[in-house]
Amino acid sequence: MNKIRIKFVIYSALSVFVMLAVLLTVINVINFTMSAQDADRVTAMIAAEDGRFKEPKEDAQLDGRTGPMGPESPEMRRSVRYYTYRFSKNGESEQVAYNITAVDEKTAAKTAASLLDEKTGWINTTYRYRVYRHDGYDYVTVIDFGRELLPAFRVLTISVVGAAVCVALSVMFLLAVGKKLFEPLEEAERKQKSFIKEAGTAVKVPLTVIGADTELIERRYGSSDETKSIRRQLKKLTELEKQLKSADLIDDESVTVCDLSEIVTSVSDSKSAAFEEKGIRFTLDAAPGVNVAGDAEMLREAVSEIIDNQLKFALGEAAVRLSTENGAAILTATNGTDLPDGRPEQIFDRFTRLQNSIDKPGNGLGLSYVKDAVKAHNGRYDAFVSDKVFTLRITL
Amino acid sequence: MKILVAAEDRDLLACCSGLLRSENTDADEAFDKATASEFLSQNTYDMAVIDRKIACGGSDRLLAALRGADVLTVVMTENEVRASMLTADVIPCEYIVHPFTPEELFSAIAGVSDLAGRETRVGPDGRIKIRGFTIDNRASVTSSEIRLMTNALDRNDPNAHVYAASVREKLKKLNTGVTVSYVKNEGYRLVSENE
Repeated sequence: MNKIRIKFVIYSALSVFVMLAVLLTVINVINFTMSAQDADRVTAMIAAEDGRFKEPKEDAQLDGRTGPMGPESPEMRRSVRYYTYRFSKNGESEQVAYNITAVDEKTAAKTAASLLDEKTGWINTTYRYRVYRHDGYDYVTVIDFGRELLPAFRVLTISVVGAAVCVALSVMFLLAVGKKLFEPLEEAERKQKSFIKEAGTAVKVPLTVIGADTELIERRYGSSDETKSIRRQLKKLTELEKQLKSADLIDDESVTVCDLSEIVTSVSDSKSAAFEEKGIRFTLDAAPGVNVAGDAEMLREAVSEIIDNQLKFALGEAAVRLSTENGAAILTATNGTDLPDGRPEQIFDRFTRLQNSIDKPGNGLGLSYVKDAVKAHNGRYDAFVSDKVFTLRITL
Repeated sequence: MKILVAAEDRDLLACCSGLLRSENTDADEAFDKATASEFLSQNTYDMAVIDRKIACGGSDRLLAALRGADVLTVVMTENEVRASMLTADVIPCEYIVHPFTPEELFSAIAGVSDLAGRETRVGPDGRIKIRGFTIDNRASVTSSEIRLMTNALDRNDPNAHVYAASVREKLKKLNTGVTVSYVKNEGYRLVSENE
C-alpha cells in the first residue's frame, strides 16, 4: 500500500504544480503582454512625432499632449530613454533622436540598421523597437523599457518561487495527511491478505477429511453418483485452494538468488509428457545461468502457472524462451490461439476467463497469481495476440 | 503393522484411522500429545501418523522422542514443504501436506516402510550409505530425500526441487564433495561438486 500512497502524493503534488503552472503562466503572460502594449504606446507616440519628443511650447496649456503621459510632456521627454535613426532609400542613416546613456551612438546606429527589416519587438529582453515609414524614410525607434519591466520580472520571480514553495508544502501536507488517509485502506488490504492466507490454510484439513470420508463411503457402500459428484467438487476446491495464495508479500527471509534457468527447465520438463499427451509441440529455449533475486517458490509457482496456461489453451504449438537483456531476465511464452488480435490484459485479473476458456477447467486465478508474483518482484508483464499467436512476456 | 494416529481434529483422526483399518492395519487414535505419549508408553508401534501441531508443538517434542525410539513417523502438515522444514534438527521420516488424498497417505506410509525395511538401515547403527558417503537417518533425512538420492523419486514430484535444496544443504554440511543438480530429461541427480 505504500506504493499507492506514494503515487497519490506524487500525482496530487503534480496536479498542484500543473494548476499553479497554468495559472501563473497565464498571469505572467498577461503581465508581459500588457508591458509590451505599454512600450508600444510609447514607441507609437514617438513615431507619431517623427521619431522624437518635441520641446514643449513656452505657453503650452496642460492638456493631453502636455500632460504627464502626453507626447509634449517634459516628463516623458526626459524619462524615456530612447534613440531614433532614419534611413534613406540609398541606405544612408541619420540620427533623429538620442536620449540614452546605456548604449553608445555607434552601437545604437548599428542596432537600428539591423532592425530595418523588422516591424516591432524586443531586443536584449528590455529594449522595445518600432520600425515605421515616414516622408520616404524608414525610421527605427528603440526605447529602453527595463525600468518599467522590473515589476513584471519581480512578479515572475515571485511566481516561480511561490509555486515551488506551494508544491513543497503540498507534498509535506499530503505526506502527513496521507498516512492517516490511507490507514483504513492499508488496514483493509492487510486484513484481506490475511484472510485469504488464513482461508487458504483453514480449508486444507476439511478438504482432506472430505476426500478421506468419501473414500471410506465408497469402500463400504460402493461408488455412487453422489460420491462422484463430491469428488468432482473436491477437485475444484482443491484447485482453488492451491491458487488462493497472496503473492504480494515476499518474506525477507525467503529472498534468495534464484536460478531461474533451473526453475524454467525443471518445470517445463515435468510438464513435457502432458504436452505430448495433448499433441502439442512444446519447445524450450532457456539460457543457462539466468539468476534472479526473489522468492524461489513464488517464481516456480508463477512459471508453473504460465506453462499450465499453455497446456490448457495452446493450439498446435507452444514455446517457452528464457533470455536476458540489459541485465533483466525475460521469460516469453508463446502458443497458437484462436483469440482475436489485441492485448487481452484482463487475463491477469482475478476470476477473469476469456471466451476460449469456457469449456476448460480453471477458476481464472492462475495468471492473476503470475501478475502478483511479477509485481512482488518489481517486474513487468505483458500479453498480446498477433496473427493467431498468443504471447505472454514477463521481465524480472 | 500397528500405527498410532494422532490429530487434534477429531474428524481427521477418525477418517485417517478409518482408512488404515480398511487396509487391515491396526490403528490407535490419540487426540492430543498426552494421549499419544500414553499410548506410546504402553504399546509398541511400527509407525506414527501425527499432526504437526502435536508432533512439534511445545518444549517436550513428541517427534524427537519418536525418532529417538526409532518409530517411523509421518507428519501431517498444513504448510507447504519447504527446505527449512527438512533441515530442522529433528524431522519425520516423511511429511504429508494437506489436503492429501487417501492414495497419497497410503503411498507415504508404504514409502517410509519400504525404505525402513530395505535401504535406510545399513549396519547396526542405522546409518545409510549412499554412493560412498554416510547419512545418519536416525533423524536427519526423509524418505523422499532418500528416493531423490537413489534416483527413485518421481521426476514430476511437485516438491522435487524442495528435496533437492534440502539434500544439497545436508550434503554440504557433511563435506561429501557431492551435490544435487538438475539434469534435463532426467530430473535431480547427485553429481560431484566439481562437475
